[in-house]
Amino acid sequence: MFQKLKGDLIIVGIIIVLAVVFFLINLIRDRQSSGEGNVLVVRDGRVVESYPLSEDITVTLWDEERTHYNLLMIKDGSAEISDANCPDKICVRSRAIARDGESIICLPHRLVLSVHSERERDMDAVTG
Amino acid sequence: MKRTAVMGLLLALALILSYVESLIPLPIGIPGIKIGLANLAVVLAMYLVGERNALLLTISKAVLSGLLFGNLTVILYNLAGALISFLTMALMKKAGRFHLPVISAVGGVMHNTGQLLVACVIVSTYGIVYYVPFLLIAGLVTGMVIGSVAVLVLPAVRKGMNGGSRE
Repeated sequence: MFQKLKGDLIIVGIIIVLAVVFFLINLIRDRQSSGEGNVLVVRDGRVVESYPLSEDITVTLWDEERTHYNLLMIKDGSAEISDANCPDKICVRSRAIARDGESIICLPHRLVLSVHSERERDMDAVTG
Repeated sequence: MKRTAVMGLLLALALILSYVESLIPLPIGIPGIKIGLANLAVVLAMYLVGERNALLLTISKAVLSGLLFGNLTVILYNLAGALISFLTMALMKKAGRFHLPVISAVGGVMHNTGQLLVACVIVSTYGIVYYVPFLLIAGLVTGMVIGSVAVLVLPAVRKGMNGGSRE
């Protein structure tokens, strides 16, 4: 009985510690950048477009066949998908992104928006 | 024979719970987080019909619910989460050192992280790592709740399986 309780506590402890560690990593990264840099539009793993977070803009992202779209809105230094014709709408419900590394994913359209801050210039802005 | 009937019932339970879950939109807006209601059927199966049959149920659940309520990508993504989750739960049950709610909690956590890993590979990005802490805590809480429900339900189902007609 008590031996089981010990196992339980160890496992729950490990999960909570892991969550806290990852949360702290996020916090440190938040400090370093927010609201600066570019939103990269990645389709099928390739960067197809890039928009600066500093400019307010609303743009419809179509796929190559022009059947799938996601409406990207950048406002006050953060980006979100305000509309899309994907079946699950998870991307529309996703929180706005502004910090380096944050992303919005639309799995049905194989689309990823992610924020890259200026200091991470090792990646090409546009390769598609 | 009775085992076949119980498996059928559990699969039906898993599918209806997947459906109910697809009706509840989570306002959190974080990819990969699910309530994991259908996991209840898997946990029950592990204790009622054994690990091997529960594995069969896990696979059928992921494939069928994907076909019914999703698409091919969803199946892949479900299957990864479900299998990782099932394997850890089965190992923890075999070890015999943990209570059911905790086993189910780890199942929930692994389900979320498994899906996240597949999402990482499919869309080839590592940016989703940002959501790991939320996925861990969400999986822990939902898994515990599901596991506790299973603890409450199991005795009644067992009683029913072992000759409920006599009562």
